[in-house]
Amino acid sequence: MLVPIILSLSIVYLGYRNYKTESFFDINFTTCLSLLIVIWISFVLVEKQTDLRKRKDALADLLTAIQKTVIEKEAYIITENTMTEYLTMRKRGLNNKIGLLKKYGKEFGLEKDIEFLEEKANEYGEIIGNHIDDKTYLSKSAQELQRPLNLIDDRIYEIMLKLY
Amino acid sequence: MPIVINIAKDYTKTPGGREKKDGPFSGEDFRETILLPKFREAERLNEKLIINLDGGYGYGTSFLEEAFGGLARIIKDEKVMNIDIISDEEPILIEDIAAYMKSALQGS
Repeated sequence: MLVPIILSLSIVYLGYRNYKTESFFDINFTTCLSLLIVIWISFVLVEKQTDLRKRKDALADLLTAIQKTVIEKEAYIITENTMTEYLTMRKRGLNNKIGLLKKYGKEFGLEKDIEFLEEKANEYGEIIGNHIDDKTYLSKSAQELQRPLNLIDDRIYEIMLKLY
Repeated sequence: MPIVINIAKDYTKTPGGREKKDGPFSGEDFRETILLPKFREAERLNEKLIINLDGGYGYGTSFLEEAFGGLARIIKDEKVMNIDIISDEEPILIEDIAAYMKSALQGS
């Protein structure tokens, strides 16, 4: 940020110093070319930064979606009437979102954090999977289910802070 | 022509738990009634066996381990790893199933 400010101030100063000279508005080919190159390089660099920012924002949205999945009460408060399909679909949704994180989070150096999220999601999935037909057991396992989900929630806050 | 099993169409959209005693549509039941017979048929005809996991409501880990890990424990041969798994709806399951079968082969 400092460099463009210094450059801008320098140009303004030069403009001021040359203002009253006869050839103030004259410009040669080399100067034109230099200006053109600088403008295009700046444009490309700004676009790159914008794209990076957009990817970070998309990743943040994905992390927020994961958080929403894990903090919902229905994720860990299961009753005798909870349908198996809801349990397996929730597990699938969580796995798929973490899969996306794994694929696109490498760019931001988040491998270890994503590995952690994956481990905890697997822990949650195993509990559900091992007792999918025993809703009585699952209905008494709110704490056991909530444990990995809370850890996922906490780690996501840390990832968000690292991203920005 | 490969032999294709689409679990949601050929068996159930709501797979259950591990064993038959746990409830309907267990991994054990799927293996015994569909997976193992089709595996043997593919072997006999020298055809590829393809399992499509899409179209259902998702899978419990114990269902998959009992079905595929269990198959590997019965066959006791690396050829089980030639089974093709399709899972566009939950791609991670492809790795998971491969891991269950490998682990089962190493344990047997």
